[in-house]
Amino acid sequence: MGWNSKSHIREESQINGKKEREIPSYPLPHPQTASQGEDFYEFSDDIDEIFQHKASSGPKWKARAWYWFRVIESIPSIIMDYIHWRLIMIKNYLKIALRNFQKHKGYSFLNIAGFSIGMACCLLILIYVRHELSYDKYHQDGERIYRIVQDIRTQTANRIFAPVSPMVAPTLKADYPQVEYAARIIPARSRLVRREATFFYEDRFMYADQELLDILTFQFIQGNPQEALIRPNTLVISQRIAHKYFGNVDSLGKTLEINQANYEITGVVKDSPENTHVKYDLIASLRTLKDWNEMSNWHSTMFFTYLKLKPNVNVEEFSSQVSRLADKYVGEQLNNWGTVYHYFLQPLSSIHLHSQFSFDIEPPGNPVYIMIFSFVGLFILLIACLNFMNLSTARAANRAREVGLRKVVGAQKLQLISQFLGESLLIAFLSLGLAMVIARFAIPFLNRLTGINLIFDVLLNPVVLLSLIGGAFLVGLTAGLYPAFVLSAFRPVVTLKGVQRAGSRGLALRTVLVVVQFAISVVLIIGTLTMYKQFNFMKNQYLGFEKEQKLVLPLRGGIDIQKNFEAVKDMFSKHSSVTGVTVSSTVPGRGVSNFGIKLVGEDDSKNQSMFHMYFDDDFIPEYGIEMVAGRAFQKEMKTDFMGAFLINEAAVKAFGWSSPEEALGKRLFTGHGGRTNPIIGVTGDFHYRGLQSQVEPLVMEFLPWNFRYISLSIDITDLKDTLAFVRSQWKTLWPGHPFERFFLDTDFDRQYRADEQVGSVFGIFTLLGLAIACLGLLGLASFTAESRTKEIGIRKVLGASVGGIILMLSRQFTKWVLLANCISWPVAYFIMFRWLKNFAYRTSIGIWPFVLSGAFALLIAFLTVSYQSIKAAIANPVKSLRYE
Amino acid sequence: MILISRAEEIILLAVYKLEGNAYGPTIREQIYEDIGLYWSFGVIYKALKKMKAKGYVKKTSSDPIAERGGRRRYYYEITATGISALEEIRRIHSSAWDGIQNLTFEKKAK
Repeated sequence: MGWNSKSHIREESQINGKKEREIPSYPLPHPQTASQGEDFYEFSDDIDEIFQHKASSGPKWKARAWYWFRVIESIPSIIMDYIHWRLIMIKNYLKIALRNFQKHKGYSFLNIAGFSIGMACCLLILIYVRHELSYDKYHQDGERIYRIVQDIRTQTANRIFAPVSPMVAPTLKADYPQVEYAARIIPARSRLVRREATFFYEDRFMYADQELLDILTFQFIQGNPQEALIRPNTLVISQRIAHKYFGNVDSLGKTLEINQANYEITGVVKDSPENTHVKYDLIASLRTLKDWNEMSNWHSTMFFTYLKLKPNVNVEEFSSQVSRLADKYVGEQLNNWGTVYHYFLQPLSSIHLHSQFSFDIEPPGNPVYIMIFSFVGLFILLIACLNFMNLSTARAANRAREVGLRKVVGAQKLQLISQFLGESLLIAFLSLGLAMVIARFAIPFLNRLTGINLIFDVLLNPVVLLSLIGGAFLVGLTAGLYPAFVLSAFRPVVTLKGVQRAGSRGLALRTVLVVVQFAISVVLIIGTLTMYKQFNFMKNQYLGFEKEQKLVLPLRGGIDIQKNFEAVKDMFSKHSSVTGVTVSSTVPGRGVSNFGIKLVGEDDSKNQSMFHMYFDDDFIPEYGIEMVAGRAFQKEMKTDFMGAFLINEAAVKAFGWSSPEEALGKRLFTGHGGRTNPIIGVTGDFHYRGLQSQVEPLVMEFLPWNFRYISLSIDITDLKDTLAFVRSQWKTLWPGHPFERFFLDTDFDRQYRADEQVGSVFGIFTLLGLAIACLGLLGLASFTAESRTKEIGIRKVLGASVGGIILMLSRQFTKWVLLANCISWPVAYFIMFRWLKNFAYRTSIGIWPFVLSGAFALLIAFLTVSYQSIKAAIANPVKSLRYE
Repeated sequence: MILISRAEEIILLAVYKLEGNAYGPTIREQIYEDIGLYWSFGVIYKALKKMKAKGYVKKTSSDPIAERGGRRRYYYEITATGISALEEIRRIHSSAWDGIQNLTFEKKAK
């Protein structure tokens, strides 16, 4: 039956009289505001009117069905309607926001610049942290891959070695069913790689078991990963090497000569990722070394050993089982020595950041720096956020009229809050876009500075991108919430009357914000200065030997001067600028080897392991190393050659002698070659390693087996000529080997490079943080000056001087910055004290970094403020008072 | 000039024809009479709200009515702007259709 409006109206009263009203429950959410209410009741009452009619004249279920059907069919239009009116409002908000940006270009610039620089810092730090955390996470079944390391405990010493005996991997495979694969790596740095006339030194060379290809993930381009490293003298190379030596990737089956031995290429893999601790270019089969006598030595520590466990192995149980795996084979021997070999497992992905073991493949990353940088990033972002809050609240008065008017025409508080939040979100997103651009262009610069190969593209991953947008949203929200509440709380009556005093709101809060910003900046500056102080200290500290004017020639690629080192020395000393030549197994700053050493007459339990160095009779005088007792090696004393020991003072202490003189004449037995010889002299403790570590016991011998470096003491007045001479001598001696050289001082300081890089990056972020804080201060200062224009005018009329007014305007900021200093000094002291503990030899913290950074912050703040102050102070009072 | 939409045209005509008795249910009924379809209330209100904002219709509320549980009815009335908008759409209609007598596919295809 159709419903007819005319008849319905006629019958209206009748219906009412006869029947009770049916009340259908409202299916719609209840209206919240008056304007929504009108629409709501219009809709529901209109439907209800017909519903009542239908219910009284027909079956109720039909009426109800009709009612519900009308509601449901209307839902799409209602939603569209809602969106339509919302969009109109948003369009208006956007328009107003953009107008505000345009009207106050300076402030908008400060806001966006501060935000985007802060975010760019954060992005860069994010990239760095992600890079550090991503180490070795890409391997398949990575959670089942472990490295086994060895803790060697003697009665006197205890040292954890990352590499272990070559026997460990085969033993694990044979004795423990939980092990799926086990493989050894022995990295051999710097090999001379040759193909016809092309030859270079390659650093990322290693020997490895076939099973390594089953444990770590390699991407084969050519060759069969199942059998690439089975035969002796086979070689897997990276794409880079293939291009370098063969011009293209296709090099399977070809031959490369490495240190005079030929290797057949059985595989080409993609280049080593940056985020692995095992970076590779050439991987030779470990089978090649099968005849080497070390291969069955349980006491050797040269082989990095990796395991892949079978799925669902209880790692803790397995770990405790393998802990004493050597005892079964060499337990008795170890017992006699009083030594314990304790093995434990290390998850693959934790190797980069969480191992500080001796002789690791590459220096591990430092989790402390990750933490420091994360904090710096957060701090800078915080400064930027505070900036925004500060500027927005300071400028609130300018928007007061708008807020008042909006309220008068019916804006809800919630609407206003969302409008202002929307504005800050808009700024946050704009800044994020800008920050991406800044980060994109800053990355190459940062890479050059840090030596880390960071890639911008990690940010373009959709997950990261989404979380960045989420992050920007959060930042916008954090920064915008307070200003939004302040702005939306204005009372229209007050603001429209125009008596609201500009910027008087939240003055205390703004002060706190500026103080916090500067406190953070000052902490960062103190940190930077202390770092530089420490690096300077390390570079200028006397190391116990002369590191200046030393030209060092490393002998690589199998050059052997065991027989003819005297002749070689003569060759290089023929030039007048070369004042001395010495040969040695290592030079300070380069690695030292570690062997067992024992005092003759003592029992085996006193067996110690000490660093060894080998050099000729010229080394001690040329390097200017002080002799504390006894004498150095002498050419005239034929017994000194392979027949005597020198030790350093630290070794004297380690043997438990009270004075260096007591050591003289004592006989030592060395594990390297098994000789027993007397101690003829004691040297001072010279720093053969960087100042991060203590000088450890050192044993020195005149032994030509391992001579790897020629050190020339040179006069640098005619450096070019000298270098040309050295090069030509090299070419005559070893024509098939590339000529290489370095200066000892720069090479030695390379040990501090990682720390220094961190220092310089830290410095840059500090400056940026300070810059952002200054942007905030600049905005605030100009605002204060602006809002006090009239006051300044009156003061000038009454006779105040320009200087007096500048002082008055600057005094406030000076006070804030001083307060910030007071807060940050103890914090900075605490942090830097902890940081310096990383170094065995460290500078005192001292008062200067504190005073300097305080003064610097003050100066910067003053400069920032003074422009505005001077402008305000020299303004003509006529202008500022004209409109009163 | 921005033309009104077809939905707006139909609703506006219904309001015009109802001569003061135009509120939700009657408008919907009028549209049914005009075009033979019942429109959803949502569509009608949405268009009315927009047209109110553009000034084509005026909304007035009645006194409380007992039948509606003591609440008001909201009546719509066409304004002078609404009338001229209708005239405009009619003019454009006739000029656009001018010259077309028999609208057949075959004729066009020839």
